[in-house]
Amino acid sequence: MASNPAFLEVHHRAMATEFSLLLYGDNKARLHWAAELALEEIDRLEHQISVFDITSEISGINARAAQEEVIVEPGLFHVLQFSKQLHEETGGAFDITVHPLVRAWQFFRKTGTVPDADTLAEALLRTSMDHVHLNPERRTVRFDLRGIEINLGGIGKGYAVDAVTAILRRNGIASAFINAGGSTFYALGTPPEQEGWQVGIRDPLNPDRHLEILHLMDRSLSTSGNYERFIRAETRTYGHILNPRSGRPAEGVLSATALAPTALETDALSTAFFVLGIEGTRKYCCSNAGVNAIQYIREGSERFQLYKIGFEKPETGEEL
Amino acid sequence: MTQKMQSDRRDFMKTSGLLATAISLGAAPSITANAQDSGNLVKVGWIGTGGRGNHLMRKVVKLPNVKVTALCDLWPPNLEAGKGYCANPDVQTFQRHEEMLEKADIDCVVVTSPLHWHGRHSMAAMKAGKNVFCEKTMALTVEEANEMVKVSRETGKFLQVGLQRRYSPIYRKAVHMIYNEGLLGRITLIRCQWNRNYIWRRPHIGMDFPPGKEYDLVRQYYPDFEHWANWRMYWEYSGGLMTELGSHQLDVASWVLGCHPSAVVGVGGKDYWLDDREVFDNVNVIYEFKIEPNEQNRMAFFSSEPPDLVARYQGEEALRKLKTDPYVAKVVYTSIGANAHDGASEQIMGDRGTILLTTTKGLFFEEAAAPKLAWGDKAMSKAELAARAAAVITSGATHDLSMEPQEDQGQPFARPMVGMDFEDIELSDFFDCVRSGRQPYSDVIKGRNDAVMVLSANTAMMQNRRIELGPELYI
Repeated sequence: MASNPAFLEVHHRAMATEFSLLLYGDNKARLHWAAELALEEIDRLEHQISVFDITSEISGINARAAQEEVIVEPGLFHVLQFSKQLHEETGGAFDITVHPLVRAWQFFRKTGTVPDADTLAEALLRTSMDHVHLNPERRTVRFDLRGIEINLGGIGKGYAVDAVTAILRRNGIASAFINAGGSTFYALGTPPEQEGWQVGIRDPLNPDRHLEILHLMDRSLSTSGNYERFIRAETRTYGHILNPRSGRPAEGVLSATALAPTALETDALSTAFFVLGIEGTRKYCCSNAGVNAIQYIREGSERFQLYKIGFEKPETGEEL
Repeated sequence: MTQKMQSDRRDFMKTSGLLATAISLGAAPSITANAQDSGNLVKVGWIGTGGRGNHLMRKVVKLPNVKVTALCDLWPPNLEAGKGYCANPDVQTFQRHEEMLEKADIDCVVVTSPLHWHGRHSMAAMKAGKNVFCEKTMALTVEEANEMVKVSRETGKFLQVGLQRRYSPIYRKAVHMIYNEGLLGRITLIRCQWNRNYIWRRPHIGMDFPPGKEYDLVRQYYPDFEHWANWRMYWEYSGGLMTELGSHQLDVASWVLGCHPSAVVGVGGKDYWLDDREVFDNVNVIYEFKIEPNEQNRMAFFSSEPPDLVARYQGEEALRKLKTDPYVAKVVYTSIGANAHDGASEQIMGDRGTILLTTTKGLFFEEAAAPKLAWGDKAMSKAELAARAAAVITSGATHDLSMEPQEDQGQPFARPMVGMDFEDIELSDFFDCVRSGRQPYSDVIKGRNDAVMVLSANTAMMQNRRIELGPELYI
């Protein structure tokens, strides 16, 4: 790269969040060109996976898959396959069919009470990836239960970030940082004369402070936390990340970060790790090389521990 | 309804096949059910795998029994991108369409190349014995469009043109309401626009073709990277806003009015994007459509029963003329690049009501009879009148402003199909035509007449004169 490299920063609103791209290269023209192609792709993917767009592919799957096998576009099929695999590997902690539960909690958010046991039981009946069957040979999806709904809210940003990365690479970009909503990132190459793209993980209890600062290269990172979105009901607050197995908000973890080779993985894994807690996360990282995690855990009412799992140094719990 | 009308209606239904049947029931056809009836695999050769091509390819790979077996594009990165979307690891790739048509194992061809290639690609494919789907506008000149019609006739191969609104349940329902139910009455104006606040070019300032032999071919056809990347900006490759956007909406006007325009005037300009582009960023055209009464349109356009007022002030003669004499409807089209207000929509205005169409919504507004405003018992108050408007701006506050034109007004009359948009439907129907030999609804003739319409508007704007469009111009 030239000693005085060209730089471009672009922002784009899509998927109910903001995407931003930082690009370095020899030639500003090439950066503009690649960024434009990448942003066009984000819009196309939004049209494919939005549940708010009645004509989207996801809406079609949700409407038809309980009656018939539905053929799925290869990129989206890969997302469904990975979601299914992750559902199995995490014992159901990650589940893209969780929407009936989400709706139950959203409804009760308005009334200020938590959903009752019957409502939750009813929603839980319609929450499980076990009802979603994929046939890789025919590239089809089928639901064995009416009322199952796929919602890619927990993985769609990762899907888009990977697609953007592929387009940037294909167009000769070797140094870029892709940020989806401040929670899912991909670091392509490194910034000029740096060892990596610097990413700070915010302390959920003290937004001015970072729990950890990492330098990333050709790697994705996502963070899930309850500190920005939560449900206030009765006398306490509930986090917005639901445990698909219990039907209730996941508790104990304040912030879960996943690092992996793709954003599809980290976007989904950060949610899964949040639900799994420290033991489940440790187990997952042990059996999946290339995946690391950082967790900030509440241990007792005033005690918080930071765990770094799968890094080169032996894991230690740090009290902050 | 006369017997003749009934049979015409049946013909219309037959032509439109599956889709019209479904629309008459107010329901959506099932593409899968349709495809299951016709089992044989269709192999597709795809010419043009840039943004548009890959967008449509992602729809095609969801269809059963359709396989993209060959890709063709001048630009090597586009071929790479196409490989990623075509769902076939064994796909063959070509830079020259001639080579693809000669060597690839394909049953039909999809053409999504830049406009100036449409004619060459489509004709070569038909001559090679393939049925073709070609994006609109189908040609850059009327002569070329005529040549394409000729080749289609000589080879017996069909050319489906990507006039997607013809396949939209919403638009079909609107046409049904207008013709079969006479819901709008006499249509005197269609107002349509596609407004965007968008530069409409890919920024790349000063970028050049990469070195390497694989770029020799693209270098041969375009003087520089700019002309290749931003072909829509140059008359040699595109017709600008009229061919890229207007073609869709003027096809709707022609469909709704059941005839072709008889004249066009227009004013165009480069008023905002002051770059090197040649095409206008501000087009404003008015078409005249001379509507002759016939069996198809009599009930829709020539059966108005104006209130007493007309008889009282204009006499019986005026009433008779309304039912028997031809009249001229106007179609006003605007497309600008510096303000996105109202987006893309068509507003069809008859004396009984208005239909507002967008790709995702159809709304019907009943017309309050004008005389009642002044004298009738049911005169509307100012407040009632105001409530009919899309946005009410008062001195105190602004109400009901919305991004969508008239979003919360009117009676919605059709819903898009779940999980499918009109592009999914047009492509599914194309492959169904390939299998069955049925002629496509949006055929080469509709595509060709649409080309005449939009290209003549460009001439009117460039020469700053009124262009008469005699019936001899149309097929």
